[in-house]
Amino acid sequence: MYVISANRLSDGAVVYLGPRGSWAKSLAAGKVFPAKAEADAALAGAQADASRNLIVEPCLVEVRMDAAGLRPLTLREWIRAQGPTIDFLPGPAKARHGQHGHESSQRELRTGSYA
Amino acid sequence: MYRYDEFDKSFVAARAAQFRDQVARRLKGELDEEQFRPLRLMNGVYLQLHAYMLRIAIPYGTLSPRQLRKLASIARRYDKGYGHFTTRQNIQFNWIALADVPDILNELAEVEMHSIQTSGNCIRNVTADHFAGAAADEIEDPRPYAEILRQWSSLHPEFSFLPRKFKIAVNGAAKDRAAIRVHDIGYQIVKNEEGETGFEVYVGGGLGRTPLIGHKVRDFLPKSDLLAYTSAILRVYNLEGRRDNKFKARIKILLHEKGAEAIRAKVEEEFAKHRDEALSLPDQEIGRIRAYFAPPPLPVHSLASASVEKRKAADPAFARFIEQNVVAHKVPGYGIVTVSLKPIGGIPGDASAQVMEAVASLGERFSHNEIRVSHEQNLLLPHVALDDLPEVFDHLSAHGLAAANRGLVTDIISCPGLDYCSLATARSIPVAQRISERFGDGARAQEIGELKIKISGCINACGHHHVGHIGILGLEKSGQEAYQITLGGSGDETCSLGTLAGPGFTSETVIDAIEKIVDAYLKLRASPDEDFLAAYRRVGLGPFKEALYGRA
Repeated sequence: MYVISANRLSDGAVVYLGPRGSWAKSLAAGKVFPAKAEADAALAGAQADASRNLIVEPCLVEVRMDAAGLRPLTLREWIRAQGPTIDFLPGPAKARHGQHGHESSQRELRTGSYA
Repeated sequence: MYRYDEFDKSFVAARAAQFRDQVARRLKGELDEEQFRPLRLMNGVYLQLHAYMLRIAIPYGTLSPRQLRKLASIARRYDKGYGHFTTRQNIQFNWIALADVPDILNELAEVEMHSIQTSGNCIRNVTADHFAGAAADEIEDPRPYAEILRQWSSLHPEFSFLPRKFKIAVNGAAKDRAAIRVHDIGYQIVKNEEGETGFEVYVGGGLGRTPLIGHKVRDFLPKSDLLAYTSAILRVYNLEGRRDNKFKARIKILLHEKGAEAIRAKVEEEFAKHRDEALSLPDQEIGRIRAYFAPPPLPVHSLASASVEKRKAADPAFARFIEQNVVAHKVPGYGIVTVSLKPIGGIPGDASAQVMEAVASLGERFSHNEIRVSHEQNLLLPHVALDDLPEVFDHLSAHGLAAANRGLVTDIISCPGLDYCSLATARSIPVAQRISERFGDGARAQEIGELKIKISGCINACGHHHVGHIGILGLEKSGQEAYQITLGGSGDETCSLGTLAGPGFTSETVIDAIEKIVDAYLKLRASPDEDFLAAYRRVGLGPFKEALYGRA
């Protein structure tokens, strides 16, 4: 199974080709192509959107369906879909000096076998 | 620090206007991506996994509080409230919209900053050691020479389409704090027997997929010849560097393939031809640039501060901070303070807008309006009076910036890795965070002593793992993240490239592996004074391999 992904030209955001030919930020909104041949044909169409300066670098992303929904097969595409796996947003300042480290509140730290 | 003159201001403004026009044409489709890509790269605009990334130049890592406040403002207004300081003393913003870049460049120009030549096949940010102009062991401040190189290399018409990127570093003390031996050109300031300033010249160093240590091509280059000689090197590289294979296009490959002596001879020949022409640097001109870097007025105080000693006796955390994060200044009564951007469990090198503003205030109040960025991803306050240290420490503590871990096992260098970077093959930041948490902020890290861990999320080695005492390289193996460990690298004047320890580790086993290496070191070190690198160089890979794999 495949979806088509790209980056939006204006802001670089990750987008997925939806059923009506528009680009959405959510993987869940992506149109699923069961077979590669169909996906390849749609990718050729997506190149046209690159020429129309909506998106850049359209590509195929192989996915599977699990209980939680659509899921890319590679960690890279999972990170593209979900965002960084770390708590990158600045939090409140904490005084840490003199204390031992504590378990960090990492958002969904995936191991190599993330699937 | 350097101040733009009218030429500089109009130069940067013109470049910003030019890029504004290029962005507009791209968004309208008058330029396609292939045409636009080299143009945006020359302005430091990358397309990463989630958004555009903007890399802003911080020339030789020197910043004013005003500039740091502007970076904080840009973080808030155009990004998600934070930035990342890099291993080349630059700053990166990870969540930039292309459409906003022209406005960001205008804002940067207001404070004499830009993103010119922070990417692309051109001469990049010239870096210098982060203690420049302050350190007690300095021979001479490298920054005037870095500034001269910066001006000369900016939009140089002959060197804007090199075979590949080109990185220059200048170091001002005998101790190499700028990793000059793993740069395309490394300049080491020296004095000859007559007391004249010149440079040892290293060419062809680099990391990435083919790490190589630079060759010394000159024992002494007179300072007046700095630009003529650099130009000669660039000319030979421009002509002879490979353009057929992106992975063989750096000058290090040219020296490796043609021979360092052969290339040196060509450089000398080119240099001899044009030596005394327009690029010769008269003393007056060097002096004019050096005047911008005149040291701040620092009244001499006594070497020991009574208030510091009193506080140290009463406050162990303060005592640890002084010991670890404050280094002797050339002026008695002052210290160079490292502000660690490696809080335990934190993201190495990241700084929120709030942190940037806090450090900017400290720079204004306590460091004569000067802040530095080190290639080890920390900030520095270079001119702090010892008497002010208790107050500085308290402010840092309030902002979570008082980690007393400069050079320790938790002062980890990490590239952004697969969480951000489209080139990455594995994540690096979570590994750094977990190592940091494993060793913590207490006695254990102090006991281990100096230990530089450097992590790269791919073979391009932006995390400098080849020159880590412990280096970690994140790769992908059969769809899983796989981490290789190297040992015994060093980026200083004893430069060495790390040796692969053996088979790789998974994301789950790599932290334990690091701990095994550290435990092995603690057992075999000759004394607590023998740091990790010294111990490794004494005993070799064997004992560590055995600790990791159960066999030598």
